[in-house]
Amino acid sequence: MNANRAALLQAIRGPIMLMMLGLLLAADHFGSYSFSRTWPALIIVFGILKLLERLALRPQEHGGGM
Amino acid sequence: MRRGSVVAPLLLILIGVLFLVNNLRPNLSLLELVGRYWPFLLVGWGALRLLEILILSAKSRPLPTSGISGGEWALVVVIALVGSSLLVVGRINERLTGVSSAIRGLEVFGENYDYPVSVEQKVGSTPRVIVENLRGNARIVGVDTDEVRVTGRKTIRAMQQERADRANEQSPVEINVNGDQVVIRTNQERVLGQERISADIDITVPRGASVEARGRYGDFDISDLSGSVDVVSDSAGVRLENIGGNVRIDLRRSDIIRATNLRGNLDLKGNGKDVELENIAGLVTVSGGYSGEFQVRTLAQPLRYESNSTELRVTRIPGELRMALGHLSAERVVGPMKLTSNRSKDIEISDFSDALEIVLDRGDIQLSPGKGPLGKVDVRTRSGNIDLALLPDSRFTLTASTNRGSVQNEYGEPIQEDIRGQGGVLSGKSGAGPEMRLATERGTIRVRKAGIGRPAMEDKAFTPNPPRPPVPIRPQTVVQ
Repeated sequence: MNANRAALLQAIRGPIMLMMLGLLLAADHFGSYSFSRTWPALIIVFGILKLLERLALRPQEHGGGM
Repeated sequence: MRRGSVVAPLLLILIGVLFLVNNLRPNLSLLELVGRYWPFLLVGWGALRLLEILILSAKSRPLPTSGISGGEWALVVVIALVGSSLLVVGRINERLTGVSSAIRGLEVFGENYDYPVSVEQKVGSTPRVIVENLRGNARIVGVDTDEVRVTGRKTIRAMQQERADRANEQSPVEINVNGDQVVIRTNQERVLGQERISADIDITVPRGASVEARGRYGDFDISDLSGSVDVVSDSAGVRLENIGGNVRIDLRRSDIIRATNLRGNLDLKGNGKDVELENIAGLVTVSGGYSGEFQVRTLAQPLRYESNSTELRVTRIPGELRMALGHLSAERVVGPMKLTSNRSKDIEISDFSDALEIVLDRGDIQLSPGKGPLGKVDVRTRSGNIDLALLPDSRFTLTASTNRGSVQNEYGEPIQEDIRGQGGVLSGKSGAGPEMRLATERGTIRVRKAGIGRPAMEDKAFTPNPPRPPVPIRPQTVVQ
């Protein structure tokens, strides 16, 4: 179950990053925040997704070990 | 079998629909919409893919390892670059007006907006009119009037209506009178944005006016003036008719130059394709390169033609002369005529009088003098056949030789044939005629009576090139 969740998180990483990129570019176009200032948000989101993936995997690894 | 994502086909459908709508309803300015809203394409794409994955996961089907593959990310980058260039280039352009010409590629986008042009101004009866129209066609006609009147249409290609309106205000068509000098300006250079302006204008001027026309891209059509005409352009077609004064045309590129009924001199410079000159009373001087057909008819005074491969001088052309890349034919011309060419050229000159000199590197020559008095004839080619058709009772002193080839005497007495080695000489004298020397290093020499026997090169007779399909207008490129 946890492995499944990890696989799901890994699979949705791309689409979420893409949506995020689209939103930032849209914000840039409509003048509220320029992309040159908001791009670190992409790294943050990427990091969060990676972290969630790890958290989803770890209990399963422990479980396998026990 | 792994089922591909639904996004790629949807993307294709979307692109197809956009192009279709753009073609069917060109006034909807779709490109602008796309330029504005494309980031949502990425959002939608991501959302669709996310939905797909969630559905797969809910059905507990195997999930792809990555939601968006490397190739798809590459496509995202392309979309982002194209999408941002649609609007960002415009912004950069506004900021760095100096480099605007470097990003002129954007011109292909946007819509055409038309604005009417109509201005007039009273002037004298013999003004000096200067027309500056960078882009667009100008028709200038002399009529019985004492005012200059400009009418026509200005076309502005821009992304938005407001931009076009602003460009229109920045580029008023003006007539400035300063004593005898009248300047008509379309002021297109004042517009610094990326909008492209061209003005198609009709100008009527007093018949006595002289005209100086300058442009970068567009045709000039000038007629019925008694003054002089001066045309300078980077790329233009020029048509002149009924001009009283001297004409000077200087073009870096042109598809056609046509001049009829000029009473003054004509001075033609530059590069182009076709040239057609007819009924010109003054001197005609042509220098430059013309890749198409050069055609002149009825010249009352000498013609001088100079290109980097060919030099031609003719004293008078009551008939016509046509010249294309590998061919020259003339009928009813009056010498002294001189032709030098270092390119391959087949020559056909009939009904000529007075002196003739031809020096050719390569090409066949076919000559038939007319009834008029002949001068000295001196014809030399390095490689090619020479065919001379003499009238039955002409007077001449002929020496025709080939170093390598046959000689054919079909004229008969008093011409003698003399075979020497691989070549031969035809010589003969009839009365106290002018000297005629024909020489080829390699080729056949034939002398015959005019009207008898087929000319040796009849099957190579000149046929004009078939019309070429119109070439789409290319952005300006620097010639040379």
